[in-house]
Amino acid sequence: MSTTTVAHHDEHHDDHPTGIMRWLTTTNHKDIGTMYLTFSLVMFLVGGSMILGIRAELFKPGLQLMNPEFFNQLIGVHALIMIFAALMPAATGFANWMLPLQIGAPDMALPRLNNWGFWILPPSAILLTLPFTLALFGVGDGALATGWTFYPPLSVQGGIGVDFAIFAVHLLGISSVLGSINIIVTIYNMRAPGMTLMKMPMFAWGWLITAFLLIATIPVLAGAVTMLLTDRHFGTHFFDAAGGGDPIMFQHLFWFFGHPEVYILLLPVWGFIPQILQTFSRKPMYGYKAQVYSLWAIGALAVVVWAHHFFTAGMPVPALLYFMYSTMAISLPLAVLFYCWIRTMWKGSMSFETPMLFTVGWIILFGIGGLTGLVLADVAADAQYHNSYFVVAHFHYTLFAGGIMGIMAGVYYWLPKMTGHMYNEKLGKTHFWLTAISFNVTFIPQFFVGLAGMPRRIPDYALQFAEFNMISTVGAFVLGLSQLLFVYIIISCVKGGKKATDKVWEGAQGLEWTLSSPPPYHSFTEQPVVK
Amino acid sequence: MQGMKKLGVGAVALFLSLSARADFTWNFPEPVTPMALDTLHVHNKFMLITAVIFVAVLAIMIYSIVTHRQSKGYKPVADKAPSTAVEIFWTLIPFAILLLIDFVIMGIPAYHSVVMMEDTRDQSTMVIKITGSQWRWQYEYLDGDAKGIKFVSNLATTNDQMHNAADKGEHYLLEVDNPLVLPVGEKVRILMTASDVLHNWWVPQFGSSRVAVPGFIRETWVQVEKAGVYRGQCKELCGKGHGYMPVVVNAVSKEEFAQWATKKQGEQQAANDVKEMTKDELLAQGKVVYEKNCAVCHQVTGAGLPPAFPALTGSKIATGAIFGADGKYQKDSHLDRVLNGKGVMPAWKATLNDTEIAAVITYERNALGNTAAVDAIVQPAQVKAARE
Amino acid sequence: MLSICETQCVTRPNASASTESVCKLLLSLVVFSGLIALAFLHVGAWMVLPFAGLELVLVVLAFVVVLRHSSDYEKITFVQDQVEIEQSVLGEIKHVRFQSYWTRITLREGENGKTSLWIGSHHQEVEFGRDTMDNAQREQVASHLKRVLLKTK
Repeated sequence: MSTTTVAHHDEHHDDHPTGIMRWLTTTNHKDIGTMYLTFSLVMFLVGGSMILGIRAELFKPGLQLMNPEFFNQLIGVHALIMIFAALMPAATGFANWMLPLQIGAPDMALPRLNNWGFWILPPSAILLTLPFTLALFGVGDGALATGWTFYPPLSVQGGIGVDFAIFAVHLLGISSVLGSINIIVTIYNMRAPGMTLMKMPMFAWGWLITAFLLIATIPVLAGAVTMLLTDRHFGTHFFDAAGGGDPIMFQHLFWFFGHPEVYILLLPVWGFIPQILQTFSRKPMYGYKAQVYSLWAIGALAVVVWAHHFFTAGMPVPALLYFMYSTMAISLPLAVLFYCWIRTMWKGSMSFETPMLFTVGWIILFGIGGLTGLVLADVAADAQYHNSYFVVAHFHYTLFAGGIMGIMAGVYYWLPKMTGHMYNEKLGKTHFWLTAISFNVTFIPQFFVGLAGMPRRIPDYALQFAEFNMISTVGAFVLGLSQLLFVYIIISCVKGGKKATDKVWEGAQGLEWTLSSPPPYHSFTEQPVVK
Repeated sequence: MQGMKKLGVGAVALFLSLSARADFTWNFPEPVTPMALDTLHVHNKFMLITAVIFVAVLAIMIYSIVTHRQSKGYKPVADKAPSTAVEIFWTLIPFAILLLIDFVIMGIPAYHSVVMMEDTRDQSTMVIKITGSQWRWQYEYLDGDAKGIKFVSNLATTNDQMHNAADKGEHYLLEVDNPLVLPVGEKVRILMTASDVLHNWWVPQFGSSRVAVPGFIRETWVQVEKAGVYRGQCKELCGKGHGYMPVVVNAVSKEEFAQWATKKQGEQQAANDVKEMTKDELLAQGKVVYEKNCAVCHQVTGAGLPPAFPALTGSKIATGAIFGADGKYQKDSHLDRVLNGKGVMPAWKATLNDTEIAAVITYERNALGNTAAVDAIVQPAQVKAARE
Repeated sequence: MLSICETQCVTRPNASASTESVCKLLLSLVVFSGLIALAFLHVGAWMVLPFAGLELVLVVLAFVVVLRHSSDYEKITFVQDQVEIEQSVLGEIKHVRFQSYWTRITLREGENGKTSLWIGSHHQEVEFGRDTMDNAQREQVASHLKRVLLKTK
């Protein structure tokens, strides 16, 4: 009894096992970030190959490859995987890796919770896709075939795929909530001395608002799918008119979550895009305060505009007008953001390495997504756009260009910091041009085919839509195959390459660039102070 | 570079060949109702505004990208942080521009469009009811010349055409057996509902689209101003047949409409007359009804698509007794299932008439590999009695 | 957070959030999520409420877990010929006293480049500033303590 130790035991454990156990039990923010990003990349490829199946089927009129049931399953699972298993984990992965580095914290505030949050994801992805496999063995009739929106009564009518998807969504929701709680606590409590809220990096702001939105809306989604489950199996009538319910109430619940979800996917990207811009423009970002207030305004508007997703479902005129005008109002803070981004570039000394290329491409393409969104807000015209390919093209401009291409910019920007190696710049630029061009080849035709009257989610189409669909499919395959190059670039960068300096980019600003590349296992054993 | 040029030339050639197609359009198809015309105007105006914004912003960005680059030796301006007032001033400019566009330039015409679109009653001269069900539309005329006319509109494209075994017709997937007939120039109020899941009745040239919600009535209206045949589709995912429930509307002059209505009413009267039929007559009509309505799920052969859609061949329901000792039909019997439905199986009593139900049941019990030992034939009179 | 003067060293965990700001945050979350859940309850979707409640409990718990250490402190005071070490964890205060003359200060290299600072005399040793200081601060404290102790000898 010679030693007395007084210590807090719930903060860290320093021993880290090797091999698979290291990854299963790790509480290190960088390990967890790496797992999130890897998972995201894998699911991005899974979701992508699903949609290539769809595009192959739509290459020409007639049923070639699959029956309509399987087609319906692919579209819904593609969306759920891309949203919940590819885009969200990518943003969470960046948050885990970079937030502690950017705010000068040694780790996330609740490391063990962080570990649980990640390890819920793989089982839920399996739950989501398992019905495909079960159907091969004659169990059930495949995965969820209602589209990712679960609209009843179709989802009440559906097979076991719907139940699997409901449980998967529950788990994904829990994971997001755990992640959000951790991020809020970290940002609130772990900032370096001197870093007030209004001195935080923009990425921290983007994520803080994202986390608030998740906390506000995930319970609504959880409630909605649970009510669906009880309607399916326990005789309740929440969404059944025969029992006094209303199928449209589900749409209100779903989109009360679903619309903020769009901003949940985009806000983290809006956080680090200005950081990339200032790095490669070699001048500080313009309008920090204006950007922060705009992010807040968008976060607030996000929860009050949900019904513009179902204008055609029938609403009183005042409700239609309210949702139309409030939706249009989102363009106001977005205009300020665009202005600040471009003003950051203006009269800078720009160079165009891959992250900057992706960022500039991102601004232009996301701009198209935003502007078409403004047009979609108009109720009368929306009667034509709604559920047509015009909408499909619009939300791929916001979620692929605005989401995934933004994430790619982030990957190229931070990869040297994470791995300690430079990626192959030439291949990176090739990847950008392939992605940007084939993306447009895929989705520009969809705007026109939508205007011409092609509804979304149909396995076969009338002959007048044939040419545009053919172009779109060709574009989609080039786009899909280009992503293999992305995977190759990442793997070869992890394996080796030119040593990256600590600062990596000439104009880099922020605390993460003061650490070595790659950063030590425990970041900031010396507490940085922000002046 | 050579490759890029070729690619460019190829793309231009492709687009030229596209725009050369007569039936092809880069915008909404030709509007034929006031609502669609209004929608097209609003759409064109908004597209123009957003295009101007896009081009202007893009031009500024491109100028900056070309000029302010390190490789040209451009030095970044001294990073003097602007004062809060200056920053507020500059950031409020884009805010103000968008405020003007959103709520004045776009907002005012959008307001009028919404009000017009939702005004279903003013000066409407006719009411029809449209019911969506998996996967067909049912039309019912509620007043006027055509009062009482009620029919189902099914996809006319054949299975062989869908599976590339036969040549596709000009209106592949957009053709039906019984189109909706509307008089030109009349404002028609449409009541929309559904019998199973959500559907959405949409004809792009009409500019109206409304979700059909089971258990609720939704309203919209059309006023076709030009005679012709107009085609559209269901645009709310409604299951595996979602791509196969087209809408075809035949807009005709008022005189032609009145003639059509008289003829159709007569036909319907005859069809509703309940008369004794021979087994062969029932089988012949039953085959037609079956293939049009039932084969989507239960398949032409009766094999079904288990587990969602059970096989009829050898099914207990399709071969077991229908009528009890008291002469009334039993619960969960063949007739009960067809009339009232259960789970995914829709109720057909509102969609099919007595003769059709009797015929299809008789067909299912004596064809598709079945030979029912009891109640092999069901007569229209029995169905009529069962409805009461 | 570390403060050093001639006769005393105090260190506290770095907490950038004050209890007041956290309370404000939690209150706004409760009000906002609560309003949403109640609004849905009003239209018949009562199942949102339990999920919202459960989640808010989790948020509050997370902050409690983190903040309960915020009033912790560790203090070294020189009183005449004694070194007094006071460590307060979750309101529980532990005192250890050493004779200045016999007190030894050791800075050890741990795993992963993290150092640890030990203050001991005879067979008893106490770790100081395990979670509240970084390597540089530990070094600073160690040299300061050594200097003060040298004076008393």
